[in-house]
Amino acid sequence: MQKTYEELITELKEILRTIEDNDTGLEESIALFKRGEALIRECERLLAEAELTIATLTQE
Amino acid sequence: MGLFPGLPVDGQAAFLTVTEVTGIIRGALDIPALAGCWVRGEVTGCKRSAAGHFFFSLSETRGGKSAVIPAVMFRGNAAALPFDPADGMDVLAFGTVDFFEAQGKCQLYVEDLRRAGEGEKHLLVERWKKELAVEGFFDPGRKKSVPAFPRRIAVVTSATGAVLHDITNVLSRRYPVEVILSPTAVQGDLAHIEIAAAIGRADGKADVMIVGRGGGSFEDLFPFNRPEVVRAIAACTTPVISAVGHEVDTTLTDLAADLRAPTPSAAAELAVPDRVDLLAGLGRDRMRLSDGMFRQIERRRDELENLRLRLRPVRYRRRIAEQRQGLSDLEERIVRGCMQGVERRGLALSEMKARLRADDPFAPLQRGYALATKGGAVVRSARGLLPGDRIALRLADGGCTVVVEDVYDAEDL
Repeated sequence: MQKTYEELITELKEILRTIEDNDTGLEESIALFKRGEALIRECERLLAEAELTIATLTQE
Repeated sequence: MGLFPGLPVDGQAAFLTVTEVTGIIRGALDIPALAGCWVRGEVTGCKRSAAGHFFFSLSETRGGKSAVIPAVMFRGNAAALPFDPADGMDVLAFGTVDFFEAQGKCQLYVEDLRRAGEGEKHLLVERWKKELAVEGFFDPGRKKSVPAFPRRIAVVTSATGAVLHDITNVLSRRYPVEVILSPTAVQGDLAHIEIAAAIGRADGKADVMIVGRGGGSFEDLFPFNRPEVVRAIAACTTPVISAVGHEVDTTLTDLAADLRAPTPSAAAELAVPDRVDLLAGLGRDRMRLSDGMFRQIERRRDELENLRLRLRPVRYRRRIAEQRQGLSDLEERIVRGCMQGVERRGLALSEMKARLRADDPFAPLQRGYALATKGGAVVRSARGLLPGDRIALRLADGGCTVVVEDVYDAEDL
């Protein structure tokens, strides 16, 4: 199941909070940084790829 | 021929011209009751001329009997109307009844036109509002929040109107998503049933729903005041944004919706974030991310530098210097101690020397004694001496070596 933009953004904020916390270990920070970069790229991709599609509900 | 009244004779003014007849009719109609009166009736046969005048009839059926009066509303008056008269409308027309001689018809010259029953409908809406409020449909507590990043938006509106176009326009510019149209008529006597059904159909199929209509008169918006629509919105699990009517004209749909927008475009703006803002936010997040990372690295670099400083030989050199200092202090103490010892011994020596001087073993020589030694040893006794032994004699001012001639005991002296 692909994550929603909202979920991605929520994860990104959590990563920022953790990486800005001085108690976070270096290895963990590096891993979080890579994950954060990937999340930002994914969010940008979602925004870039978003296309308007219109469907009409058929009358019952 | 005899049945008819006698024909008027030529030359006598015994007949009326058409103009005289129409004139008499006009005169007869010129009474206060027909000048400046309100007439209520249903609009029928409504036509709008190319010039902008409205031609229609006001009709009424009462007690099985029909009554019709032609009416005309000229462009000047019609332009000010908030609605276009249409067949079937129940209206109140203000005007004057006059006779149009050119067409030989009596008609109402309409100056103002109001939709009849509007006042009653206002009262009806007020009553519904109270009743529905009692049922809790407008409670702020039951409002659902609209998701920040919807993926699918349902639009309940006319399939043909400008509303859908306005909404998709804004969505494609700000944050393109999937739009589901749940089409419905938005005006007409049964519109509220259709709208309620369209809302029900769209519920649960999207993250947010926009119920829209591009404004209109109170009458146009009336379906959106109907309890059926309010109940359909209240029954929704999907958050509903209303975009019905205007800022000033709140419908019950607006009150029941989770969020209210003044226009369909505004509703679309409320429904989705702006991609440009999001990208800017992502840019800021990226900065924060790398800043955070840099700070992490910088902090560790500082820590490392501190550790390095603690490891630096200079610290040890200092400690060695301190040790060395301690050592030289000890050395000094030792030296001082030794010196004191030497001095003390020197003093003791000179003291002893003085004492020695005072106790000079050679002092008796001055008084005439001689010190005899044999082989370096002091000769204290005559025993052990034999004649012929060589002994040395030390005198006060010199010495000599003598040979023993004879040995004898003291009693022999």
